[in-house]
Amino acid sequence: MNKLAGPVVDRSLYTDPAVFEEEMVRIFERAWLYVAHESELPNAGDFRATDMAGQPVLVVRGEDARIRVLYNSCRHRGALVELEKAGNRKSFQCLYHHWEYGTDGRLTFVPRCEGQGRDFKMEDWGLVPVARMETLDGLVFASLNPEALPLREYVGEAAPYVNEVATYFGKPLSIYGTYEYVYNANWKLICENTVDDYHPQYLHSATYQESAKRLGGLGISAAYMGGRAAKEFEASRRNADLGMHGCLAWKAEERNLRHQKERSMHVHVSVFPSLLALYDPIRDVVGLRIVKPEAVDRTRVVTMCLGPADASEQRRSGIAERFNHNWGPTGRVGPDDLSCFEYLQKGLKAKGGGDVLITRGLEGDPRDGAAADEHAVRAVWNGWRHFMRANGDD
Amino acid sequence: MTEVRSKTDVADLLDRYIALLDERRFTEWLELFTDESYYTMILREDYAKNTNMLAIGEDKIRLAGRIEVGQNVERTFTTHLLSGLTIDEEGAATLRASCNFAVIRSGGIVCWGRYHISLVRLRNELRIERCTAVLNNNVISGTIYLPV
Repeated sequence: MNKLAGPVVDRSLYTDPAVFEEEMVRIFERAWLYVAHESELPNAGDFRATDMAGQPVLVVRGEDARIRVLYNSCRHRGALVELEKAGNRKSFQCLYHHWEYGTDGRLTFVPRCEGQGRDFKMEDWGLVPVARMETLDGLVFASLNPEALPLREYVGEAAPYVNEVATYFGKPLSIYGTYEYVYNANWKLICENTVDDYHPQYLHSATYQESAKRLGGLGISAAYMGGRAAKEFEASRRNADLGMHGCLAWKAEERNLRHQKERSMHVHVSVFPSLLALYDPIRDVVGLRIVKPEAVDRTRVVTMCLGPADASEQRRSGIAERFNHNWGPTGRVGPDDLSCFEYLQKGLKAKGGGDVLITRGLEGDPRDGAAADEHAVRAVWNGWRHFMRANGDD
Repeated sequence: MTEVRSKTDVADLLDRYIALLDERRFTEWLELFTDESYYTMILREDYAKNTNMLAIGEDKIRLAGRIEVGQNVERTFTTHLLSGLTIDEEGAATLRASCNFAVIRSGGIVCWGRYHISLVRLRNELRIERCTAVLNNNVISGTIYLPV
């Protein structure tokens, strides 16, 4: 795959179905992918059903307290052994012929087992574990690639940012709610967008103008629109290329911190290829976006609201209520992004339209990009090249 | 007779509610709400679990702001379908009602579910105090910026 892939990008990398098929194999079957949060699995038998590179898997805590990631596919004829998205089971039973598996994946029951023949051994036919599973700050990751680097090494310089979003001053978070949405465009567009510091004041200008007007010229919206705090806000904006991963951060004004007073930095971090983690100190909300490519021009996003595990019911309720205020398909700025992705996808189909530019701030320090630089966006393409090019070379 | 009258009144209000949305007469639509009203949208699973994870949660002022911006984000017309209206509770000046809805946009159903509406009689006219649109969608396809 020798097409231009950053800082100048061949537009077919967003639109060509053959590229998409190769991405599924070379990226999503080899990289570390987020599969669950530890808070979803406090007890033996708790499970989360999900998919990796389109392949169904179960993340389950066994009776031995270990978390395992197992293919959700019966060893007999291949049907799913769990149909629900999440819950608690003593065992997993295939609906077809009722083969049954323990929460550790062992095959425990086969109806009319004698018919399988004398050489059939139950211990040989458990659910197959996914090659690798590791956790980081409560986030459960798995990889289909037995040769994958250790997770912490893979996350590398992004680890402190992941820690900042995925814990609350080092204390664990739990999931308050989750939902899914779909947009009709390429998966890389949301990865770029979440760490793109250049677009908000333009794409979201109508929302910011309305908000600034309603709030009397206060707040981040007003700062984006050149209001009183614009200078300080501009100076606080940082984005970084962390190798394959990227980070975007900016400071909220102290007077806007109505729901908590201890944290003032907005942080968006991308862990290539599919985890986007965000913290908004104004609304005191933590969000995870898990990117699930379904086709070259169709992407499913699983989004999760998290908050401190020890929060009171009142605080938990407030965080949940504020979670979608800006983000997602029903938020104040999310619909701008999702609509834009679909316009981007249509525009990128112009084969002769020239290459795509992700070149802002190219001459600056990639670890310390200033406002509106595109270092973190370029990091997405570092990851892409790492996996898509032979031997991982750039 | 009171119940029959109430059901007719609520049906009339809801017909007006969807007609104004579908005709994009949002200012008039907002006038169906009291000044202290609250509009929320929530997924059925969250509604059942009482998680308070609102897809949309706006008071009347913020709702007006959302509409001001949203008209330019979602430019296509919608068609609302309603069915199964029930009066769930009736007091001297208040009512709680619910009914099924589906919203068609760009040739497909964007969202569907049930409205749960609290109403109050003001100067002999019904006004909405709280409207909760509970979505049955498992997955939200596209965007929902404007209220449904």
